[in-house]
Amino acid sequence: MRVTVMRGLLIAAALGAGLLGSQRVSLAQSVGLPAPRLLTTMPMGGTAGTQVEITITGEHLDGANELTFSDARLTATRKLDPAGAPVPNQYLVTIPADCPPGLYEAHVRTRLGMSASRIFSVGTLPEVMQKAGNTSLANAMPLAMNTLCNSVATARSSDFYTFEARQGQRVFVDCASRGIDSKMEAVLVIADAAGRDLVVERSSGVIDYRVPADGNYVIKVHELTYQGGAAFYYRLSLRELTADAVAVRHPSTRRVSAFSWPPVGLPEQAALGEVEPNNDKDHVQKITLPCDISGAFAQAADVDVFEFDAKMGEIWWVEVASERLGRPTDPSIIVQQVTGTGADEKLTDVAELTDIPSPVKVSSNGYAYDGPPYDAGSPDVIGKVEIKQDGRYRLQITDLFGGTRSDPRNVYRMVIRKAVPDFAVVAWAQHMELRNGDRNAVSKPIALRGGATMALDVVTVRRDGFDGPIEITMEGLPEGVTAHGLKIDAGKTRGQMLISARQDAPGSFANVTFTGRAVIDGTPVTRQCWLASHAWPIPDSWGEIPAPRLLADVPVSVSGVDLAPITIAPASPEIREVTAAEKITIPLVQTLRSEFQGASTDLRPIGCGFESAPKLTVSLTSDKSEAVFDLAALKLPPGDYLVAFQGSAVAKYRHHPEAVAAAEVAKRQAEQMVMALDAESKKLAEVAATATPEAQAETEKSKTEIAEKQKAAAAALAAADEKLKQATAIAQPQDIVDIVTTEPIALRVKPAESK
Amino acid sequence: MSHSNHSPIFCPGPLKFGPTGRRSFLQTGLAGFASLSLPGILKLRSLQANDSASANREKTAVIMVWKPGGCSHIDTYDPKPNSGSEYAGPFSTIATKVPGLNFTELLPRQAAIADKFTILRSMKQTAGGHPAGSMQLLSGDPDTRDKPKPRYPDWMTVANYLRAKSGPRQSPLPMYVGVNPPLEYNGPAYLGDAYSPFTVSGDPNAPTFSVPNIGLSDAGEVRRLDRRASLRKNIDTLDRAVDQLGELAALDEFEAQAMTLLTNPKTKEAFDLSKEDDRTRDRYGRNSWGQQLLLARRLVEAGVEVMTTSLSGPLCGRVQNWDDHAVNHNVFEALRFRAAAYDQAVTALIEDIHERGLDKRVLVVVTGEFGRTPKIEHSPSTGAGDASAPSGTVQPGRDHWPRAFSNLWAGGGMDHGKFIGATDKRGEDVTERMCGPGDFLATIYHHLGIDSSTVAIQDFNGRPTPIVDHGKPIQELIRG
Amino acid sequence: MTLPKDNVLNRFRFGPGLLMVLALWGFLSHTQAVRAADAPLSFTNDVEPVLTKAGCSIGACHAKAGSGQNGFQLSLLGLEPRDDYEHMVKADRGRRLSIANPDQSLILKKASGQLPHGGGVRLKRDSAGYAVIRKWIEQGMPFGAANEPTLVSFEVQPGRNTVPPMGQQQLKALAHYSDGTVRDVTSTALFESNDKAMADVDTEGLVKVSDIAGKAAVMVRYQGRVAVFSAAIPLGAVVDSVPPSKNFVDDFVFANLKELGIPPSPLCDDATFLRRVSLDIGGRLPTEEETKAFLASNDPNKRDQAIEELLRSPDYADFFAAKWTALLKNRRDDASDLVSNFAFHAWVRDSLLSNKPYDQFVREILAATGTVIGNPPVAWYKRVKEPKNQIEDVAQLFLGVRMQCAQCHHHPFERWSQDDYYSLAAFFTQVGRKPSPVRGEDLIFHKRGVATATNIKTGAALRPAALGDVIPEIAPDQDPRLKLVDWMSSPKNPFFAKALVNRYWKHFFQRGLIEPEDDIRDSNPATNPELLAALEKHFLESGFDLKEMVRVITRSNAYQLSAIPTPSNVKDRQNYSRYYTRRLQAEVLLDAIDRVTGSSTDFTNLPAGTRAVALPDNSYNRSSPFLRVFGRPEGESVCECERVQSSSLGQSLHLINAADIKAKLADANGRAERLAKEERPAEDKVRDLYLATFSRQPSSDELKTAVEYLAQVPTGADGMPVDSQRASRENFQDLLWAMINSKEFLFNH
Repeated sequence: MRVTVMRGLLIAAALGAGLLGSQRVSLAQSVGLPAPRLLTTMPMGGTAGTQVEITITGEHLDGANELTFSDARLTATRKLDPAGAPVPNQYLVTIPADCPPGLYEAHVRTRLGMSASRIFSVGTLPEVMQKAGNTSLANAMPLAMNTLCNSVATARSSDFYTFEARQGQRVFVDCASRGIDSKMEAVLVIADAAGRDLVVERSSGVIDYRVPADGNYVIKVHELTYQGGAAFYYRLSLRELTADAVAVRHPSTRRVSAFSWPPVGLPEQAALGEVEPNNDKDHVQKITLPCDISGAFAQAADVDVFEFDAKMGEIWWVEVASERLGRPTDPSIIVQQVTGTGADEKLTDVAELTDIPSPVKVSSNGYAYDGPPYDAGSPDVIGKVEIKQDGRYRLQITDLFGGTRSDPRNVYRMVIRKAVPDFAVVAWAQHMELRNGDRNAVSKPIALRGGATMALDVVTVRRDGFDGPIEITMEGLPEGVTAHGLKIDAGKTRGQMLISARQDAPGSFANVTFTGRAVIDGTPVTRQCWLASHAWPIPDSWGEIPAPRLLADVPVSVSGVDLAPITIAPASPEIREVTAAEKITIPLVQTLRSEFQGASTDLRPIGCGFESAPKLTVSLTSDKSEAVFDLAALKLPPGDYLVAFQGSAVAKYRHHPEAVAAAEVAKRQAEQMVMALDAESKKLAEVAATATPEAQAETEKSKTEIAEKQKAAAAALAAADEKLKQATAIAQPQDIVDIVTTEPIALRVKPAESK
Repeated sequence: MSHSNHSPIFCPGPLKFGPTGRRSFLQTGLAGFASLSLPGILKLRSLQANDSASANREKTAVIMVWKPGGCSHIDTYDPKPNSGSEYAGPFSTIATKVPGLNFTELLPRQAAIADKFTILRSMKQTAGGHPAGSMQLLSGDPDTRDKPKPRYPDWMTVANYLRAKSGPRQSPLPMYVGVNPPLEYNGPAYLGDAYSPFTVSGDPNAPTFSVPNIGLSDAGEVRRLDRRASLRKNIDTLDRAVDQLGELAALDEFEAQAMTLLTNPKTKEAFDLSKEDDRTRDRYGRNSWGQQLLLARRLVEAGVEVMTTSLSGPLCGRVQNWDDHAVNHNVFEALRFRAAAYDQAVTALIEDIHERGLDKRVLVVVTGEFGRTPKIEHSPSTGAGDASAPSGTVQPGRDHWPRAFSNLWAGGGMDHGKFIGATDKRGEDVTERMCGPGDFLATIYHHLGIDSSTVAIQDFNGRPTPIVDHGKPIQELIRG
Repeated sequence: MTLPKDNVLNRFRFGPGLLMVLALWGFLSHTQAVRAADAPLSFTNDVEPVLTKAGCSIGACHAKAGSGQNGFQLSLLGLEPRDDYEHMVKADRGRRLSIANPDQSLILKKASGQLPHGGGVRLKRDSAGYAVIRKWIEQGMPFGAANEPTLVSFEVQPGRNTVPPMGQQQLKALAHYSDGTVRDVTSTALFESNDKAMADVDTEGLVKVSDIAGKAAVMVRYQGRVAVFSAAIPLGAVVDSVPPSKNFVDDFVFANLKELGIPPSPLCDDATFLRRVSLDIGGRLPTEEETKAFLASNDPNKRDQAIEELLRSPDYADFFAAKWTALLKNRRDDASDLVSNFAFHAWVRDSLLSNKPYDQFVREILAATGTVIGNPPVAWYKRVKEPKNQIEDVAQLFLGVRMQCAQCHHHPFERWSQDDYYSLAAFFTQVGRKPSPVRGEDLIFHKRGVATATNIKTGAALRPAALGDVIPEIAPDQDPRLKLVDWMSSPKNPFFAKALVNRYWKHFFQRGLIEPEDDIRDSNPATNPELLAALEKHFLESGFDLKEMVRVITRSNAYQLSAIPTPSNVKDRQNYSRYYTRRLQAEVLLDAIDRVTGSSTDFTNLPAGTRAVALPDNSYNRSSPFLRVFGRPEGESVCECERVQSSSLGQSLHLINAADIKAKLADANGRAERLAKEERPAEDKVRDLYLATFSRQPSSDELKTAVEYLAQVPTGADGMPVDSQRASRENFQDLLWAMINSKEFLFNH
């Protein structure tokens, strides 16, 4: 057994420090071409019917221009400084009074296209900003009742707020953090005036508090592990509620698994409610099928037992939603046939329904990148119950995560129906199979460089037995952008959507309609395809808990300035015909716009039916290559097909080269300004020498003016020079690996002539 | 069955001291450090000076010289000249002073004094990884799987624990001292941190070498400490009668020992190599290993009873230990690179122990956790450096080999000039007088007067755990 | 019949005599009860006890795990007669016994020393045991009639007795058999004292008692049965006055003291009480203001109010959370454990702050499901993964029963068999795990299915059962862990409440009513059984209210006795005749030094000013040398004995001369600096210093000593007197050093 390098036995002093396990230096090799990402807005939202001034931060936001939202009613304009020039990264957002409170996606237009979005909240409460330095009881920030404070947690400390309250008052303290894309696991504490903890809440971020006595109370907020900084923002609201009012929490983003809920056409409220006690065989709730019940896992180890009669041959589909409603639950159902009554009752298992399996294998520990870091499955239930005999059947639903937890908010909705075949689709930006999982490739907006083709994974959760093919389409694309869906084949769960932009496509942006289409029992059906993304690019894959979520819109944009390092497309876009069992060679054209590491790269085929096709070796130096398809080997039945190739390449990418040119121009101007002023001051000096005494005072004044201007000009020159140095540094070629996808090839397979 | 209940609370029995007639450190009539006036401290120091020399004459001690990473037995003490080119290695064989005992050419000095020590060639254990291998040899843990932390206490802490329980110490020096000791895969486990070594780290050969907490250098600090100590005497008025379990008394003892370590020039001298004459320092070799072994002898002579020191660091080569896989070192270059310093230091230690009449009282053991694979393997080096070719060049190496290895035993009051056990033609397996980790530990315990077959210590769950599970002292290696 | 050809001699290396440990071999003085001479002997009832008494079947010899010693294997302490009979008679072709010439039987020649035997001489030739075995061989080595009487019960006479100091008591061991016969088995029973310092017993059951007053117990074992003799050793002093009894705790403690004739020390004064109760409940020194207010108040129940104030404070929650999170192994083994360490520690602290009932606290840990963020006690399952470790931790921590031994063989001291061990493990065999998005953490849930665990010896698949109590059938979809916790929290449970009460009693009185506190077994009786039962009843009636248990203990006068012994109770170590002193815990000591020197310690990831007591996990032991050297536990074991409270050289060196202590004393805005600068009379400064450090006023000569010292002007290195500013600062630092190095500061008394 060989240990490659035994760590040097450095004799640490007897008190050797350092945590267990090898120190992991995250060699975050640069992955994924720069993509614009809006990371924080301060404040994180505003009150309906007001105007809010916000400051934004993010990655690669240079050239940030208009700020847009997923709802057109919300508008924003650049903040202007007194001289009328737009202040960088500051906007004035107008929230119309009729804009419904809730969460919206905010994104900003940059030279690289529309940025990845950040949640912008619209609320009803008046909002204030956090007073700086409220990290001790002494300078706690007073918070008026029924207000909301936009704050950022300070590292290694708690934020202190004080409020006045009367005895018997019901105070509802709600802190939105993870639900609005923040990295903060919020801990809420209500303490007495001396700062001594009375009530602590560490997981839900909400305290519904009945004030015991008149007086001054303190709210303490901190991150679970006392982290802080810009990414740990939160919105803290303090509301007074009447005793019986139903407390409505701040809205939060939806989990990726929630894309498959609700089934189309489900009424808002369930028809039936759960009637406790229904916890054991002696207290059973009778139901008739089909049925639509809402209930709750209110008590610890709560078991809800239902009974119904059913006939042989019936097939009932059971769907439960609880985790997809945002609850920390894991519903599980057991259906048993009941024969006999009382003591000699016999139960035979009919069905055990647990989780909705993830359509694709999720990466094993969430980060090891042996699969996508998105779980489209869910602990909720979609399952089939086949009735083999007439008789009485007992259905029992429990929460696997509720063994010791009593929380009436853990609601579920159970629908039992005859088969209504259907499907739901969700998509996310593809990312690379990496060794140490550098993750900034994951949070990627659909912002296309000229000539780029971007691939999205599209997966489906099929319902009630539907297993036909699903076409994937995008409409309303911006000019110069085409989208081709590689369909999800019958019985399969995964397809791709390739979005390509022409090299000369102008800078543009559009909110596209992204749909999945299929024919179910003869009728064409269209379903909205959701888009999922990670809230943050996470450099250290082992240190952070991931935060994937569904987006409210599907923004597609084109940079119009930057160009993709390589474009690989079929020589001619028309559909190429080929007879079954023949061979066909498709010539491809590469447009190279940067040098690459290595001479060629192997791309693997994507598109249903072509999984077993051979790899395509594309040269990274010449501009020609060809793909050969052997239909005999692929055994493709006649019909129309789309196929593409995908792999990775390390480009020597130059970022923002035009900034260098602009900076040079600016520098030259500054130089000219300085020379002009020198000339002027020299001229003035000559005038002064010959000037009459009264003019002396005049020339003295203008001489000081000139000197002032000269100083300003010199400073401007230095600044321009510095800017140029920076721009050239950024524009140095950098080795960046990213995904390379060819434009799709259309093939029509004609049936072989009958010989 | 349990020898003593675990709690290492120091219980000297009923309150009064001294009935047992043992010369107790505190028996100078002072009821503990608290009542030491300045003159009292001085008198105390003078008393210790002559007291410690006589007191520790009869206390047996052990010096373990640890070669971390596993030293190749075939290229040192168990040469196999005719085992074929894929096994033997380049070193020729030389005779030693003991007829029939041959070493490789790397150890001429030890060969010349082979009558003063014994070579055990038939050691065997079952764990191939460094952690599990070290834990098997040093604490007898039978588990062959590597784990981050040891489950059982190593023999050094067990010896320190058992001797500490048997009564207060006479010598002001700590009982168990480690000079750059092995720390990574061994430790006190459930015996608690109180019994881990007093550690001295750094290169004793360096001029700047200093030992923290030993003998404050500048007189001002010593004076201030004495002033503080006398002030405390008057401040501490807690009634001593409350001390029903002797905890306060134990604290007094340790405080006294701490003050002595800090203020007593005698203890400072014990750690001060400059007090050795230059001829001796040269004999050990003016390098970290030589001076470490000299310091080990000097401390044991001054009263330390359990001493460990590890031969690692830059003198080993690029990866600073004996783990001579081909990826780390060219094994033969590495052994040649270390031979001179190693041979000189070990020889000097053994001769010095004999010349200063310590060989009856002090047992010296020189060992690693296992041997290295007889069949030479070749793979690319992972980096250039001492005894290692530039990265990528294929070089010879040997992997781990727990199935057979050798170690060296000297002193311990036994007769030497012999070698025990034997391995097969290629040095792969033991053919005669196999000894396991249990026997290795039992032999060391035996020298320290501990009968390892009967002693069991309660672990955290109160389960009496024998300090040696399967193993008896090696007959040929115990006092005649 | 000749000895088989392979010469026996060379098979045994004549090793040096193996010293016996458990029971020295006895020269069986008096013969077995006389029975019909030629009645057939029974292997189980007659031969096995002789072998066990002779010490053949102890763990170090023939009962050693694996293959026994030199090929001859016996079950531990002869608990499996059937297996031993096989080994004795049938194994190795029966070469150990020779019917023709019994004296030549290998077993006898070896035991009597005629042949070299690693274990030395066990049965002299003329001993009764030798005779029994010899006659048994003559009778053809019968195992015993099928319907032979079986051992039904075993007792020792007398069960309890008062033995005067230095007195003696001869015990008699009686075995009751199914046919009603009673045999005196004193000569073959095994005797062992629980506390050799108080009472020792020889192999013949003669108990000799020392002069330490209290309750001592002698464990007597015979063929897997255990009986206990408990001796009350009275001091015999006259106990005329006893402090008034404030609650039932006092009733029982003082009754026991009266019975043993040990007069209790008087009550402690106010200053001592406030410091002691603030340390024991809040894990901190009282502040100067608290001390001043308390000493000034003459409200009659100010002591009870102080207790209430402490119980309400977050300090109580932090201090006891530190105790519990170490036992619940909240360890940081990898950097990614950070979140679960913080979440689990915070959950324990919040539970204690909101005084969650103890049974609910244990239920939420053992039956935890879901994610760590959503349900922090799931973190326990991240650390304790296997059913074996889970039940060993649960048994020792929550039930006070040490089950580890029963994993491989019958428990040597108790009635627990391997079946008990594996049927307890069955509760945890249906714990389901699903991967979570967080590295290293699983989602825990109940996996539907019938829970069984296989006994590795018998191979039987056992259903869940709890330490002898049968648990009703558990349906596949029910979580067996919930059934285990139901069994635990039922008032009839003999272990759950008793274990907690004994643990909290040891927290306040330094010595458990049962010692060690998590080793509650029949053979280790409590020193005051009535008190333990009363505490248990009170805890159950209060609905497992932890704060009420702390309240009832600390309000008792027994807790508030002075630590200074009277001449007669100086030797008492177990009957609480006074408060037993103990060193402050590592975290409490560090906080106290920070408070007194006016400095603070910085801990990574935690706000400045966080107290050491409130640290979530063991990673801070690596970054803080002080916490490590003073024994803060690593969370490796469920035993509180992992926290080492004994002193060591490293601790003394650290306190006297460590860099961080010197830095704290010389802290730029520390107390020494502040006092040196203030323009106040030295007396006031010293008084404030005493209030802050010892929580009391200085005596007049202490005041004088301190003021004199402050007036001295030390000479600098150059021999010249130092300027007054520096002198004052250094003197205050010396004074502070002397106070924090004093026993009065380091100990809780």
